Amino acid sequence: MQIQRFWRISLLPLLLITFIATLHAETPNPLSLTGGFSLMDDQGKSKHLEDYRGSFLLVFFGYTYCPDICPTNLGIMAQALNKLPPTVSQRLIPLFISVDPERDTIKQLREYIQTFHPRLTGLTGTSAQLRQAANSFGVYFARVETNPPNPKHYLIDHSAGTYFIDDQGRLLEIFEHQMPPETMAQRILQRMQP
Amino acid sequence: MTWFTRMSTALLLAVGMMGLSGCETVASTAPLASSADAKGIIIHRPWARATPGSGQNGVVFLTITNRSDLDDRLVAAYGTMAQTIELHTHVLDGPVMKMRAVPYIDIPKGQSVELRPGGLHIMLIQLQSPLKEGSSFPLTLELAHAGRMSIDVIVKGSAITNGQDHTTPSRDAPLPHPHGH
Ligand SMILES: [Cu+2]
Repeated sequence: MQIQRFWRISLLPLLLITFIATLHAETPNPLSLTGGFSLMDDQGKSKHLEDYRGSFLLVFFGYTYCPDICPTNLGIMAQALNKLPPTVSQRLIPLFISVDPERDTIKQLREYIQTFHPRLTGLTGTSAQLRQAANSFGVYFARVETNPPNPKHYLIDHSAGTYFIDDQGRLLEIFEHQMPPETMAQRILQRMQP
Repeated sequence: MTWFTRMSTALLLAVGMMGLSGCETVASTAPLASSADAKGIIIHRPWARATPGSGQNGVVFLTITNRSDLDDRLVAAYGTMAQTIELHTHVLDGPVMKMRAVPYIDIPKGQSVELRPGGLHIMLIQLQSPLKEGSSFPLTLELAHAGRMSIDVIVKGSAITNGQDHTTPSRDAPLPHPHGH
């Protein structure tokens, strides 16, 4: 009886721990890019995902009329970059992809990204190119009309995660919205340090 | 909400700009208050995010404390720095962030409600000019019970991630939270 009781008490937490561990272990890396992208950078040059092969990437999708979510996450990205040793951050390219080609001109995009980090690159493209890029990353974006509709005042719902891509163009992690920059820097370091 | 904003914009236009410089004239029932109000509503640390580049949309954050014995609600904000001013919230739907207008923000008695990055905010749509770090602008808040309050909003850095930046010192000394919030 005593022994049974002992097992019941000690086995349950053990099973639970094992179960949780299995959950983690059995999650095969579900993250993968289903394609690349073909966009234009903030200098007006055409860029493909393959052009960045050899560098790690941090990618955030947004738009410059986004007053809070984009600045917050670009601020976090910039702070995380600055927390990394230069030998690591040099191999990491931060990208901001504007999904609002209707309002975000190349010039506006360039001015916007410069505010956050000198190494941040802005990318945009045609609606079709952006839809294709978003699909590759599994990113959602949709225009939302204001009430009453004003052709200049629409908002855009968009995925708020930061996509961390390795030097082979593989998706490693999606950092959630408002992740503390310290955490982001740590997670980057874990993956990039040999 | 938008109806409200339009109505209030129209009202503001109708009375000219006296609503800002001479708020006491407009809100004869609610005395001018820069951060505290006789009716027990206190506005802490109002700030806006500087808009990068030619940024067209802005956000204002602040904390409202209701020390009165009446539940109150923020129903509108008025100002001349933007074409349209709305009360907004953010809703995280899975990985997708959605920004939506709300008709009002409840400020229950004895409580503080924080408008902060990633959550509730006052949305400035179509700014007259970009918001520059270090500048400030007037904004009038309207509460259902306390009436109108005029505040001065300080513009902080674009890249602030949580409102607790150390680059721009807060102009208002932090006020004690008597209700242990
Ligand atoms: Cu908003």
